[in-house]
Amino acid sequence: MTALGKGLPIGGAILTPRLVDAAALGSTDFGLAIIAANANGEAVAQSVDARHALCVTADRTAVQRGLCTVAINSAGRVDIFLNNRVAQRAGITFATAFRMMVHEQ
Amino acid sequence: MKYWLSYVALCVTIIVVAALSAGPRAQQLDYGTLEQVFHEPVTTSATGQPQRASEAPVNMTIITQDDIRRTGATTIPDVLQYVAGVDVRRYGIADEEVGIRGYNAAYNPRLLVLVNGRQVYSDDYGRVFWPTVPVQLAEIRQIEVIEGPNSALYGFNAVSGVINIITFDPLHDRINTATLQGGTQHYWGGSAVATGQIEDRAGLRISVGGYQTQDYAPANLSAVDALNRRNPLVGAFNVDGRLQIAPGVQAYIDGSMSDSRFAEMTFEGSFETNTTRANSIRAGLSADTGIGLLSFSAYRNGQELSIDSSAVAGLPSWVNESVYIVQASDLLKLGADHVVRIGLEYRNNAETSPGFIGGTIGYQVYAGSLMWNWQITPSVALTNAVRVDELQLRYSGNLAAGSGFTVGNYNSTNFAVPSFNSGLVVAVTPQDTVRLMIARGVQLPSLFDFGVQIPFGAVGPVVIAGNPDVHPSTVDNIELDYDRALPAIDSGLRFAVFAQRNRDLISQPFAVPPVLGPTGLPLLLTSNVGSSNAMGAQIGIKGHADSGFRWNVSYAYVATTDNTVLNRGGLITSAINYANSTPRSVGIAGIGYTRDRWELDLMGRWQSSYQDFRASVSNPFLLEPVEVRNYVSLNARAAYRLTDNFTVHVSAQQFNASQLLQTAGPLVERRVLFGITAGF
Repeated sequence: MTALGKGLPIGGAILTPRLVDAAALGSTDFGLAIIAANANGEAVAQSVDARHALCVTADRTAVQRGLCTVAINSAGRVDIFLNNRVAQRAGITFATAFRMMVHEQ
Repeated sequence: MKYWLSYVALCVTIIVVAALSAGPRAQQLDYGTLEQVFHEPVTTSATGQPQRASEAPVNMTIITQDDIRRTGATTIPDVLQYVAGVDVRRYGIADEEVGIRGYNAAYNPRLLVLVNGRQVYSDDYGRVFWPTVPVQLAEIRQIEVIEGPNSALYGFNAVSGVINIITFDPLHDRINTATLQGGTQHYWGGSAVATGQIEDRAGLRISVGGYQTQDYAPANLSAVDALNRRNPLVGAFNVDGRLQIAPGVQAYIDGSMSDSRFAEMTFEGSFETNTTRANSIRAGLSADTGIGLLSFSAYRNGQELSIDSSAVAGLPSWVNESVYIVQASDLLKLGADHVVRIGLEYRNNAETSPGFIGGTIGYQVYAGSLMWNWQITPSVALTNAVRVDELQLRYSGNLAAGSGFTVGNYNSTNFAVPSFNSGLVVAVTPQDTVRLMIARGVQLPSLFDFGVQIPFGAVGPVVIAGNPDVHPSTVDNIELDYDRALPAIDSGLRFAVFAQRNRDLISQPFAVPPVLGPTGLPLLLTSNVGSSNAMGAQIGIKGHADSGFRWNVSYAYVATTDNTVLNRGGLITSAINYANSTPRSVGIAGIGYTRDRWELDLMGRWQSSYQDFRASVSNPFLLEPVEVRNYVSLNARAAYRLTDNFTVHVSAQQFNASQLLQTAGPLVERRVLFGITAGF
């Protein structure tokens, strides 16, 4: 992650990432959590919900199980899966145009 | 680590998209960021719904800014000639006719051309004055080419296809560039594009450009045609502003002016020089609300045309035209699997010409449309769209005596026409997509078709008149497409087969057999003249490699049959002779290479023979066939980046032949252009 230096500029935003142990997520301030595939779980989901943060993972089943908001498959064709129930729980709304281009459940 | 970085970048981009993406029409969609997310172009041109190009339920080709630049083209039709299924006829350097899947002709009325959703074709004949399209090539993000009818979204004239030119978004894209070019045929031209932005709240893009050149030498034309042709002179100005009023709420205003003078081939097979002044103003608003994406826009297009031709020397030769269009739509997602779009449109146009119309003709159209996209399973989607246009015709002025119609006949003419599009898209595997599409498009008679009024004796011993009773032409199309991604060679393959039936073909009055009018005078009347069928296939592959190479190869075939009342008895009066006037086969190939500071491209286009037409020297009401043999045209471009800000380039168009007969117009000549581009 140090390769990102002062942050990753994308569009109008700059990302400043930190690598955090899943167990320490509850005591960390963040707005976006990118969850490693084997780190999804109830505790992580609760921490993300509590901060009204967006949860992103490569693990589609975590999204299907309601443990994370968005799953991104970027190997080959990019596919995005969105769990609306999780998004509502975290108080996150997505632009309508974006919702039309992803797989929702 | 590299994978993680790109994955993190993708995640953040999604947040940006979720925050920024708004409406489907015009420029509200942040194309750049969405393209960054999905690694492919996105579009709203197929259904009004934002979609990835690979998921659109139409046969669509997207030409990117990189593609445009690498052609070395100076006009939009010169870019389009490398799309399989697109036919470009070059009657002059500025006079180019574009058709899709055959049915191309001078004044082609079957193509809908838009800039960010705003129509840029002229209602007079339904034609496109390409030089007056107020867009510089450098400010185009992508050109979306839809092959086949799409009237259910756009209404009349989207019959052969739709070309939607999408410019960069002043709110999100910072384009600052200037180009100066010069070359053979005494060509001089330039363009400049500048963008100003206030954070993410407001953006303004201004562009200006133009060119002058000597046209192709008229050595093979008649003395009259040679006399009627004047050299092209083209200029355009455009301003495009957008304002982010609140999260999800965006307002925009754009305006344009263009002036052009160029020689144009007419449907009568003769040349005239048109001087055109066009302008437009549009304002719109979109809002992402709890009841969907609400969009509203209103615009006016104006055009003043002056015709310089010895054929109409006895008539007042100016034509003024305006069209007002108001559009409103709501695009909403219902549940996880359904998207619905409800659209309303009002159109009011008018054309005034004392010489050709005898007054003013126009119509009002009220249209309603409904689109429903159902994601049946994650890999199967069905889209249905239907639209009804209700037209009310009106006329004021002096009708040509002897036509048999009264002003009352015109002002009581109204009709409603439905159109539809259905498309089933099946992602059979992550690499294979199949599309099945059925559509009906509607071609409206042009204002000229409805309202031309040329009295007996003005151009000959005959009354020439429009017809308020002429029916819209309909096009029924069925198509099956197959797309195959070939990741091993970074390529995509497309195969398409289609069949279409055109009913109630509309002929302008000069081309129909004369009849005896109600007052006993010979009468030429706009008429429905029959039907035509077409079937064809296309196959193409396009790819690139990390080494810097890129390539494309495609082939398109179309066979057309006609059943009309025209051109009987050995006399040719009409260019509606699609069976012969459509080149059956077209092959396109290109190869390019980018390395370090160099960008090199070589493109070729071959097309089979066809028959074009020009006016008979002895009788202006008759046409003479011109056999255009099959030909190959090769273009090349080389560019070298001098610094981060300056690039020099040279392009050679048709470098394999000094002259080629491509149409019934003048021989198309080899062109070589040198230029320098500055980007900041």
